[in-house]
Amino acid sequence: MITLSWAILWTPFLTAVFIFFFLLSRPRAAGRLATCGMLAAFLCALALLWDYLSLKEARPVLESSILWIPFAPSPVEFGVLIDGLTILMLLIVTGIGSLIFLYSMSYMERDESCGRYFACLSLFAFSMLGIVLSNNFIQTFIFWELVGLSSYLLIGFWFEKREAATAGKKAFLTTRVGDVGMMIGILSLFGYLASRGIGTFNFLLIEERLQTISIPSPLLYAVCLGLFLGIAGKSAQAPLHVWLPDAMEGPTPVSALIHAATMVAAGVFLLARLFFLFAQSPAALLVIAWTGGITAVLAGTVAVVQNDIKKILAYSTLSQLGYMVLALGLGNPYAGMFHLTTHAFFKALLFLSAGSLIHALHTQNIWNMRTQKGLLRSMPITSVTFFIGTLALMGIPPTSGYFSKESILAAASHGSPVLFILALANVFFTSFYMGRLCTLVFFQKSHSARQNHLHTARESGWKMTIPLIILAGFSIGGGFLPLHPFLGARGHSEPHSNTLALISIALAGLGFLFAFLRYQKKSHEHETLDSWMTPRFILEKKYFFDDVYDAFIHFVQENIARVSDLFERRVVVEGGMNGSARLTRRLSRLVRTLQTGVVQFYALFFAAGVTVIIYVLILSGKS
Amino acid sequence: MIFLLTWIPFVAAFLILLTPSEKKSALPIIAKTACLLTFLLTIGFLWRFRPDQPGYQFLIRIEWFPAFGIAYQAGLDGINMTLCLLHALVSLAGVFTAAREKKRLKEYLFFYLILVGAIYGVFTCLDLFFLYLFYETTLIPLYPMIGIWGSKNKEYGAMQLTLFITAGAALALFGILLLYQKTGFGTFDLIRITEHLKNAPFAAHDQNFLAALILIGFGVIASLWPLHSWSPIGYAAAPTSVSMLHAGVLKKMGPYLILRIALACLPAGMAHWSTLLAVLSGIGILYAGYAAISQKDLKFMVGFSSVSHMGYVLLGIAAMTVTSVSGAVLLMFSHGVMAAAMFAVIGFIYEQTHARGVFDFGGLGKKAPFISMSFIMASLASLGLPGFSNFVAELLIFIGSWEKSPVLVGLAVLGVLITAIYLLRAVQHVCYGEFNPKWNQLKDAVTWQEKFPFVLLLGALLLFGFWPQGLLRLIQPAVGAMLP
Repeated sequence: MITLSWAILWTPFLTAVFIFFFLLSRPRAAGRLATCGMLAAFLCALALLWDYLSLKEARPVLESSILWIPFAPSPVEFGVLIDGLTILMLLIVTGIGSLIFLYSMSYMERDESCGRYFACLSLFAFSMLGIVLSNNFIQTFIFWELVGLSSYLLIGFWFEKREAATAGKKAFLTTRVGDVGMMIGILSLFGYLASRGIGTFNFLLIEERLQTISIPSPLLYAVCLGLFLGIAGKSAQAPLHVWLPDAMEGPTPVSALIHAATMVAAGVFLLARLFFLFAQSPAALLVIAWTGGITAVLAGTVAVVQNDIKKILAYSTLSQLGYMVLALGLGNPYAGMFHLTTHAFFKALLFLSAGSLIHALHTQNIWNMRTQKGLLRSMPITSVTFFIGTLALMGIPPTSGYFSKESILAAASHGSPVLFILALANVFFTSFYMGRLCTLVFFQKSHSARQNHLHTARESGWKMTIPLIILAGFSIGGGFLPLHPFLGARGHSEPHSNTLALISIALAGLGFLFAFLRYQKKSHEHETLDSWMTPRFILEKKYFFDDVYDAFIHFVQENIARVSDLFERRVVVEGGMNGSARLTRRLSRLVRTLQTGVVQFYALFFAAGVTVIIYVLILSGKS
Repeated sequence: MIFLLTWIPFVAAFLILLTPSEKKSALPIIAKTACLLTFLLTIGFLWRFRPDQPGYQFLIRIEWFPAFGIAYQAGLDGINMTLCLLHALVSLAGVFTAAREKKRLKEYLFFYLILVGAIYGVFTCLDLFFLYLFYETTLIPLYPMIGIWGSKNKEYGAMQLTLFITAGAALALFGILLLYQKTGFGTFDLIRITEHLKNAPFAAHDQNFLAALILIGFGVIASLWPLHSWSPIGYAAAPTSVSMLHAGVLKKMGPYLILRIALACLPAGMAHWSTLLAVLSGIGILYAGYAAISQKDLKFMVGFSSVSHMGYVLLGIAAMTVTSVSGAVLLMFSHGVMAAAMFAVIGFIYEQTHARGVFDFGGLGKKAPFISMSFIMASLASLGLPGFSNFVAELLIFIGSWEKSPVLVGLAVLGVLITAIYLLRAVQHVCYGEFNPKWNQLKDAVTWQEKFPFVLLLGALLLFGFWPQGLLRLIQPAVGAMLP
């Protein structure tokens, strides 16, 4: 089993390296190799699952590691930790990853840098698998950073486009703000443990030790918040969510990968992995729950006014991530991970279908996507699968989204009533913006002649439709997957409540209906959204997060930099360096005036000096 | 054998003097052969180095002036072994750049080899007299090299750099002479002095005074804030290979000598100043990082960046734990290699375009993929991305210094973010975006001679990033033996 897990980890890395050295100029081969590598990793993960299930113990946890930096006070390991959570995530990452790789082969085939694309994609999968398999804080942090790097490279894949380059940088820097918090969290946790003589970074060891010693709660609170800052960065929680919508500048399959299987899932996964730590700090859990709830509603409302199909999906990811974080904050990792799993299916599906639409229609604006015959007829597979994804996202039974969302709502119903209302409201927003999207894209036919060039839209090739069909299957049936054996140790599923189910289905249905009625006849966007909702302006401005950050960077950071630079020029260089040079020059001028070259003058000094010396000698002789 | 490290470059330098200027093709060959030989020799030492064996290895001692206790004595422990490897890598990479110099190649290579030999001298010598002699010798070629072959404000830069470092050296010389006089058995033998002071340390106030002299004197070349201002100015003015050697290797002589003399001989004095040193390093990290953000010249930016990174090294030394000091030594290596690669990239572009503004370029990624990739990789190494040894080094410094000064470490972690800000901004403006047609003539690195320095340097960073134990197994025992 250990060998299998090492194989899963290193296969994508080796393909990435191989492509980087040999296949950069051979895009087709690169695509094939990367996809095969990912598929092989998936098969290994399946084999691992088989082995794991055939183990006799109740909830086995396997660990194996090598010493990477064997320093006496703080050995750093590099290892794998296999439990149910790991295996679940491995299956998600490699499984959905393989489908996205396959899809990319067709989606990216015309791009000349396709080789680089697949190298980066494999690197991305490698980094994510590293987080999943990691058995200690440092290794997690290493792969955490590598995920940041891969996202930087992939979001900025079309780096000639200024927006893409900026978006890549933004993603890297925003998540790095979180990583600063995470590093400090790790250091303070380690520092405390080391002071108690048990300096280790190992998850299992720390979990075990925490049962005998207790960390003072202010410190634990700080540690948890630091770690959560890192998680909020990667999982795009407010206020560090700003990078995710911009990340849409990358190729669409990359968005699917980021949103479903990697990156944003990393944060939620880590939250589940470290739940033993967070569970001891109720105060931190409260912060986490509120962050999740607020992110969900913030993003859900902003999605209502977006016109770019990928942006809408991006904001919907944000709000679903909010749900997952909310569930974990409410002390229910099971619900969070369950939603992570189902969300991975339907969000990958939605993005890939959207990619298929974009591929065929050459536009991302939902107002320009309708075709003369209607998309349902010209692109049936894409349309139907997109619709299935939508249902799952809205949480309509019997799709997978229904079950997972239900368990989160059930968990929320025991928590703070405000949070519960936020969670319910978001159900409505979700179906409203998805209803708007579907109505505009699928249920309208184009009447105007200017959009006629779109009537040629055709279904994409098998490499793109097969992943869609498979993902659609899982989006429907994913709710029935038996996840309990994997997550059993981590919380419980809430008892089913009929009232709650009814309320949420009703809200979802209402949202969709409102949107349908409202946008059924609209053919182009008008300035007013609805006066009965939050003012459009705030939503269009996305609650001013970007503006505030820009202002901060512009007014605070740039000024600190400018002041440092000025200080350097004016004080250190001008005052210190050149000043001392000037002083030396003046002093030398002073001394130079003595060097007149007149011999009598020197003789005078000589005589005076001798007189003084003799005088001093006489004086000292007397005393 | 070990004296060959110093003498091969010196001999080659005089061979170059003897070669007629008309034989242009012979000059680079001599220089490259010398650097390659010393490189291979260093690898040989590394191969035969026994980390588990305490004390110095490959020790030689040649009496020179017994009356004053001066002897040429050289040897390697884990710390200077690592630094010799750094120097071997950087000088070999640098000679390929130096050999492309068009103006007065002969003199340039002569000075270059003198510089290379003298640096080996500093890193291998274990006799305070020769140590200081070689230290001063490194300064001699620097002045003409910057003053004649430099760019833009070259006379000013050369003057600043030389004067500052000489002033520091004078203070340090005073310290060294005091040390010599106070130990009182008339020897400059560093091993004996260290041994003696371990058993019979000086009184506290003596240690404090001496440590202050050494810290300030060698702190200048380590660009300790606020004594750093020569560094960006000097690097901006210097020709590429000098910037590479200086930012990469020469600067590391400061922390190295602080370790060897202040930390090993005067631990109590070091401990006395450690809080102040840590605070100054912390200020340096943030201050130089912010100053780098507002630079518009790539070389100035990297110059400030190196000041900021030396802050991490000094922070690690100030904490005086095995982990943090080992991290500091590893960072000396990693930052040296990274800085050399960075200056090599900038020099490569500058050679062809005579431009090096952050905003002068655009879209080089398509036009010159190899050089852009090298730039991006060097930047990623610099901003502490895992996979490069810089990450491991910084991590060890953070872990090791946390118990001493958590606040400063927190600020230093923030410094990593600041590094990312200015480097990614530079990468974006240079490599990404639309191509600026002004540089249509720009050629990528194509021949192996052009590619070799980058492959060598970045390869070393990656190797020890994946396998940090390769260096740490040398460094850690040596540091452990040095610390009280």
